[in-house]
Amino acid sequence: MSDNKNSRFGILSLTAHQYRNSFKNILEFYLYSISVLTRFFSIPRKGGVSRLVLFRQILFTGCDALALMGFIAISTSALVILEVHQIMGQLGEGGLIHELIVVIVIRQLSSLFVALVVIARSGAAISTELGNMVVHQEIDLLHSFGISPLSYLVIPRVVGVVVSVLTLTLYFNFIAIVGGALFANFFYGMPVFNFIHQVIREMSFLDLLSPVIKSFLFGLAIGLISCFQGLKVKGASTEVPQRAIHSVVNSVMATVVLNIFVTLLEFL
Amino acid sequence: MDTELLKVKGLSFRVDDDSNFRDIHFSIDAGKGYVIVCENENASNILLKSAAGLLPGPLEPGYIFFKGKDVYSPDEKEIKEIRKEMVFVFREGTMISNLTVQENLFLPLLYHYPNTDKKTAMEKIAEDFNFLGIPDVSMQRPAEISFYDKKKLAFIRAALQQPNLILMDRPLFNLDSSDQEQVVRYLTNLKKKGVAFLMESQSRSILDALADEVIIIEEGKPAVTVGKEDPAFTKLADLFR
Repeated sequence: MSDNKNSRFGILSLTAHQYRNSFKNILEFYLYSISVLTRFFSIPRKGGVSRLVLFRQILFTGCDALALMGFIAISTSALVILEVHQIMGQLGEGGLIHELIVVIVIRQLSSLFVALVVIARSGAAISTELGNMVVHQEIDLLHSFGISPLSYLVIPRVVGVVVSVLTLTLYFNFIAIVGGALFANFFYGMPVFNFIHQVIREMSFLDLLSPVIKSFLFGLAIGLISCFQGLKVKGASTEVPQRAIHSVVNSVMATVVLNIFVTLLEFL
Repeated sequence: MDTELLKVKGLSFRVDDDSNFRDIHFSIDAGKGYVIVCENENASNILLKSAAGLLPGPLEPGYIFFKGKDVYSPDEKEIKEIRKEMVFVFREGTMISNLTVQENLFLPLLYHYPNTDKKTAMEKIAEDFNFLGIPDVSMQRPAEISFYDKKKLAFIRAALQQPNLILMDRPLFNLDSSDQEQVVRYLTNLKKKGVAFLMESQSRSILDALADEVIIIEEGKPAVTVGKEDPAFTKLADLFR
């Protein structure tokens, strides 16, 4: 009986401890995000040492992902055309294909797919890299130079991820439209320029603005979370992969929640 | 003329549950060498890193000043000014792993002196490479070079900044005798140029070449600074390897 009581209290105390830790983490993340956001536009300056970090981040997150993003964009567009053509063709609403490309691919999937690829490629890499830097005393080394790790490591990475996600989303949409037009021409004989023209005609200002806002927010969330998790490593190398997992999970959750939130705002 | 660079006053810290170090006072003058001596190795390490402002945890601010500026100041600009003249050399010769050796050497230099002439700096680096017997590893990453070279590069990086004070955590740690000799000669040259040193070391050659005074800290007792002319210095020196 008493054993049962003890174990019950054990579970309760563990839960309380977890709640306290979660609250502490949220507070820490909030304060850290405020510090990053207040310096977001001030750094990296011309000639500053963090410029190289920014360029490398854009190269890795943006440029190196172009081929993969292009492949996903064409595949997504082709799949949507294939499915919509099958269903709508049977209903005699084949003309809806352009509108659905705009709604499904451009407004919803482009920024989301780009964010997921960036999380998998760069989010995990950033947290692993920063975690290893903590383990190898490189953060202390930066402190000893008088260089703030926030200014040198975090801000260029966050800015780099935001710029990359934004650019990749625009690139994704471009490839999805052009690739979709070529696919529709090849399989259904739709004229390429006519298809592109129809898709552009279906686009409203909101359709253009929505992926931009989403990709900005997704990039910010991914950059902030990945750097935060990497810097949370205390000193053991075994913590590094754990933090990378946290970074991926939290970034995916943040992206999905932000996507729902922005989409809901669009309908208000 | 005020020659005092670093001043530690009334510093207290705890190493573990049993060891308390209280009320530590000492000051570091320009151009002089100081070695911290303590039976508890962790304590001397904590003291050195505290003096460098690298341990934010248990310490209260307002105890350590570099040229009158608090090394724990929350003001980033003030910290930048301090770091420009006060450099720390880590025991393992730590470097930023994703930068090349050259980028590593230039990082603090370009941060503090953005208008540095890179060509002149490269010539100085080449000279120092030659002096310390380092092969041309400029374009390599830290993971590709030996521990010995990494350690020696940390001294070159520190010297490039032309600081007034260099703090060193075991400068000869894990170096073989010929490397030790090169490093001691290199540091002696820096000292001749007026650089002050505060270090934790158990090496006799470091003590002989660089130390003007030793700072002895003991648990529960105030720190004592002993000069070279003091018989206690000679007595202590015999304990160094």
